[in-house]
Amino acid sequence: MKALVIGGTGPTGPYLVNGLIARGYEVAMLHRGTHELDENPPEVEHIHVDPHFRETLDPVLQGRKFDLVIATYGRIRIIAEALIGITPRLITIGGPPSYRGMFNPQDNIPPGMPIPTPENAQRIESTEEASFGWLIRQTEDTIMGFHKAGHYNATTFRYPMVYGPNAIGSLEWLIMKRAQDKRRQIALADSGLSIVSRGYAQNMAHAVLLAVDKPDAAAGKIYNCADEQAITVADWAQMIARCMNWEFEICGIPELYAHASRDFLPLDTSTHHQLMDLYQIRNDLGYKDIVPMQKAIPLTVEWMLKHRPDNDGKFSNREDPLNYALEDQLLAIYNEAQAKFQKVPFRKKEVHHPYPHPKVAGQARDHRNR
Amino acid sequence: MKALVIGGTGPTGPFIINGLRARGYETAMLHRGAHELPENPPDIEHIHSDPHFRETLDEGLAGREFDLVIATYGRVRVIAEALIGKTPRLIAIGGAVCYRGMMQPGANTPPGMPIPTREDAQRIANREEFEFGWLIRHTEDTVMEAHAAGHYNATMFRYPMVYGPNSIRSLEWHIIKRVQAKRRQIILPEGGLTVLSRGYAENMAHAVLLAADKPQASAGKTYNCADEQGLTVAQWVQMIARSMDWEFEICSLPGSYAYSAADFLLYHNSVHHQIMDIAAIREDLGYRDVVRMQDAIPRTINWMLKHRPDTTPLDYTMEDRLLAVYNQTKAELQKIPFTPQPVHHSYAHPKQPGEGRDHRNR
Repeated sequence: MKALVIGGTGPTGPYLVNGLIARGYEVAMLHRGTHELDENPPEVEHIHVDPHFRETLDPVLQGRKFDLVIATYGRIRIIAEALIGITPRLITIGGPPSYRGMFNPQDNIPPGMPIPTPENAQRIESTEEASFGWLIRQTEDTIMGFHKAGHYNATTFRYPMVYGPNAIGSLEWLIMKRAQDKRRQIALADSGLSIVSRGYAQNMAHAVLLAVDKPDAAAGKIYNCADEQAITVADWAQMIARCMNWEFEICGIPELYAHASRDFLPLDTSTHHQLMDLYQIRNDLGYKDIVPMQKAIPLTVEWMLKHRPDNDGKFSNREDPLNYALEDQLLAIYNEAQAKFQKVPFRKKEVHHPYPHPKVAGQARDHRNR
Repeated sequence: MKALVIGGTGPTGPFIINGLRARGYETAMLHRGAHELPENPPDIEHIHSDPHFRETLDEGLAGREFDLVIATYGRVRVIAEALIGKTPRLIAIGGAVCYRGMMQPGANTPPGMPIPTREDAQRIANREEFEFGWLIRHTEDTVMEAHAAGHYNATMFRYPMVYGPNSIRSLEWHIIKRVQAKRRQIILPEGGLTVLSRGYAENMAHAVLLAADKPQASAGKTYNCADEQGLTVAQWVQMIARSMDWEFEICSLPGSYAYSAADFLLYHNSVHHQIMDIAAIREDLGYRDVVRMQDAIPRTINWMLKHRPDTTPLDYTMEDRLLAVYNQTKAELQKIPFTPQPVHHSYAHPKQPGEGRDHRNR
């Protein structure tokens, strides 16, 4: 059996490549060749070509046949066309930007994405609505069109923000640097209450490999995938800090003004929750985390400290990714406001359940007159 | 076929009773008799007896047998014992408060309940940890022990905060009154980002009735239930306002200082999320909302305005004091200059073939 992985040097790549080898596949990788990873075994064939263009893909795929192709990277709608006649089974990776409300929360009522977001939630309808999301949606439609036309059996996964060894654009660094710099206060939009579904690389690769194992159950399906337990931005920051023996004081800044923490959310999205509904992969594919989030975060931090101690300073494409000057301005205002709020006198009220709970029989109303 | 509903005057009561009758059950209600609802048909039998005590229950149930009992109210662990030998099928209502982390977020890592919370999540382990939660857990265990012992086939539901017609603590009034007073600003802890699973009464009754329809699939199971779509506090507030043609400016305060919101949020403004995973009722019972939350909220507000007008004014002194500080702070925050920069996906997206790295050097 022959399998092709398109991409393979991102965080889920090595898990996919090795998972396929363990299943008895002879594996080839097709990628630009810009990056390589030690985790991929040396016997894997490399096809170095750019997976964004028909003109680069066609010559290398000509005459080749694969029992399975997993396309994790490149311009997937182009890949999907190029693979017609080359494979009977295609698994591709997309993402949740195809959902309405991720980038333009006000397009939904109530605003934001549904909590949780099931696979059949409303998607982007036009390029005017959100150009990036529209491209992702078009890609999904292209693949499923080819599936329906019988060109191959296709399955698509909507990857969340993936973390773990070899993750690219690791937001974790923004937090790790703050812990290293012993910054006690961290300014988070609305105290970092936003829930963002994330996926540990090994878990996400496992989801994809389950679709390899269950081609019938996964035929023609589009799946959300993410770790089983989601986490808020605040808890994510505290868990990273804890791995470095640090603890932050979380300082809540109203979202509109929380400029310094915008980068903690994927792709500068709003504070609206991005919680993926995992019912389908659990139900169809029997998905369960291999590594629970509580272990995956420490593993990620440990790996980053060991392998990319400062990530060559390239943990962001921003000029000043840490933005301490701005954060300090916000914190000064926050601290001043705290002092003022503390002066507002308040006494706690007792809260009781609204239903009567009589202590003795025979009362019309109970001791709290319920 | 004979059914008994214990309770029946709460928000889900009439939906359950009428649902049972539609299924052909001759239905009786056992409750204290302190409240009655016009939605319940006049011809059903009422057993007026307090469902909190063995002595009153034994009296009310003497010599009676039922094909099905749905216990929505009372001291359910006492009811579970009193019903042994009186029914082959018991559906009982409990709540999410048995989960560890709901009232003491620090007991879990990360703090709060797991997101989302599945039925197999950690529960309160003992009375010392949290008494009310322990009682609810103890009730679940009592019911499931009676099931395991073969006394009856039991199913339990963990109700979320139920809303809709006849709901008892109508927190919605705190919002409705602010709209009526044309208050533009409302204080919410942390921008009201907290997600709380809620259940529209008709939806929750539907979940319970599905268990009545599917006794095998639901045998011995304890289920979460909630509307399919969860809501943040801010979304809930704006949806209520919207159904009255209003929109608030949500003013985000740290949870510990958002005192004025404590009246409609319960739990002392704990901002931890409470999101129930409802995969099990979807899978076992085919649960789907009968009424979408987007329709259920306006329906609830209309019902409240029509049937339970409440004109007691609210005291906004505290909220106004806090808003004064908020508005000063907001003015300070607005002075900080900020120009957003575009963010790009971290993976390379070449525009033409043959580049080593793309135009953004990825």
